Amino acid sequence: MTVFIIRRLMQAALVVLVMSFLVFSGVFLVGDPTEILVADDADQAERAAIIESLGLDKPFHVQYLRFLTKAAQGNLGDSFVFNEPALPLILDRLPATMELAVAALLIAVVFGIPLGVIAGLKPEAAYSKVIMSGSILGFSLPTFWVGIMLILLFSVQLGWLPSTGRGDEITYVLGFPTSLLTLDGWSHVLLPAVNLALFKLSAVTRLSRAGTREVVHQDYVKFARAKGLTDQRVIFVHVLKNILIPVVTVLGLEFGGLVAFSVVTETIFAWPGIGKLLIDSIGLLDRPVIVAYLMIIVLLFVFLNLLVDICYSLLDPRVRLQDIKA
Amino acid sequence: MTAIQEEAAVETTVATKKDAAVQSPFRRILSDYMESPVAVIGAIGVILVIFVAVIGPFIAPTDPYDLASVSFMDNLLAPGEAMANGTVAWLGTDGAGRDLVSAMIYGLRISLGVGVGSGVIALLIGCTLGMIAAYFGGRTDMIIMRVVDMQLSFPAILVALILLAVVKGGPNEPGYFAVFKIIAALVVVQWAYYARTIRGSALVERRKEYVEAANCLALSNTRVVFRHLLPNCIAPIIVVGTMQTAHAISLEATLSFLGLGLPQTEPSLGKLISNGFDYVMSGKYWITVFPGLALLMMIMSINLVGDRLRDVLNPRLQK
Repeated sequence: MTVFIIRRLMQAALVVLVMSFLVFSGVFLVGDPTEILVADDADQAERAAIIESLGLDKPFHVQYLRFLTKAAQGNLGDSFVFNEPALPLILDRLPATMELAVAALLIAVVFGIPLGVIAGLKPEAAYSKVIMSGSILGFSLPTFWVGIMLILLFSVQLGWLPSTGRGDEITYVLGFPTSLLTLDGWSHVLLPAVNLALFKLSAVTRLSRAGTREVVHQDYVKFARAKGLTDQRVIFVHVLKNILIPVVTVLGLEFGGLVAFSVVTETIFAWPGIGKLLIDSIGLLDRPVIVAYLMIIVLLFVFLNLLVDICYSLLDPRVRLQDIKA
Repeated sequence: MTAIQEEAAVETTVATKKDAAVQSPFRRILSDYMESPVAVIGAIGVILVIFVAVIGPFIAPTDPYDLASVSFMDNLLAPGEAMANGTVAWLGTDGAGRDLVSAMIYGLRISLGVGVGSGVIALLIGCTLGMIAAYFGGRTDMIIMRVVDMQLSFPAILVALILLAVVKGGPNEPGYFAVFKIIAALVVVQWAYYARTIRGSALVERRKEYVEAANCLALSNTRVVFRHLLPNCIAPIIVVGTMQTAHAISLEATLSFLGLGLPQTEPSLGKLISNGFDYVMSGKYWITVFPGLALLMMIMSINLVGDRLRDVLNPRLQK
């Protein structure tokens, strides 16, 4: 296990290094930030001074090496726009995104697993077909459009829920800001979370259904029934436990997807998270923030993948971590 | 030969003839496909979308991008109101006074074109690389699949966002250049799925006797790959292809909504919805609702077809 984790961490470092090079060279090669940073009426000398102060006059490898050295010290450069270090800028907004992603994940699991199990137990029943068609609908709905529709219905027409931001009542729990402790916070998070959850809800439903269909034919389920256990016990203990394995794997991987897709949801609901920051930074060609965002996302993904593999071995004792292709 | 045997023999020939008629692979797939009414609706939807996209300019009530015929006086008309030139805007008009029906028909063309175009290019690139990986194996296989794995560990939207952010042009960039960029981004996002799929099925097929036989005949690598291996790997590619096309259309709409996709001069359905977002708060619902419904119908139809094709083409599920 320890060997496995160490090997994975070394690989992760390599992935991060490769990504940093790709991203940095991509951002470096295209797009000239001076167009935005330098005032239109600046003369040549002022222009040159700004370019020099940002280190943009140096050749590529010098800039990249300097970036790497600083990154190793936890400094991913200063935002051109905010004039603050990019890393804290993103970390400040990370809790809001995490809050949204966790809420969406909860919705997907709480509704998706039961729906999938119901559809899997009686695949030919009419309600199962409705659930399955519904899941295709969930896959097909463009997230951003659903978000707008939710605003249109619940905020504009009915006026029940707010459409922007995460509310003012932010409380700190163990140093992390959260708005989920107040009713106002929940009313703010509900629409964006539902919006973000929809796609994953379909995925969880389909996975649980496929898992259930497979598991009910296994010998241990037949044996449990033969023993005369109640349906409830068979479903909740024998079936549910075993379908959780693929569901947990996919959810772990999909959590990263939720964070990535929150870019869309955050833009629509003006949610003050990292996704909205990324879109704003792209609009302003704020290179250091874009690069820092990517570095953090890559780290997050690598960490999640590792976590999933570990959970996997805990849930299913048959899986040995050494066997998973590291 | 006894009479009974003769009868049996006749019966068999009749049966084989009948079976041959029904059992041609295309017929069999078609009749299997037709068993699901929902999938038939999906297929009709797809045909309808393609039809509208192809003959679009002939059926659109107005040309929404002909500046001479668009009048700003018509802006934000509610559905059913008449425009200044007498045409009724059945689904209303947008902020610039364009008839929404026409704008949607043109938008549909662009959305479908970008989705299918990028899908075909990604399919060609992905299949070539996946086939190379499967056929040559060893180091080539390892390198290609490492890249595929690495790319697939990141969500498509993130990869596309970053690519487009990196190559983001200024406001004066010509429209066709932006179209080219979004297609390129969608190709980069999609090729890995095709590569992985075809490598998977090619690895299975390649161990079968017919490939061995072809190799024994000393046929060239290209011939074995294209004439023998490829036709037998086509089913999963069709399924992945349909699903990916739907995905690409959705992704393009999302990127256009975020302002990183198509420019104002080439408005896809996503861009129309994005424009309508500005009017949502004032209750002018039609500019976002109708293009969104068109987008949904298109994606949903393709997904329904893909979902059914997966069941029908899957040899394990065949009766």
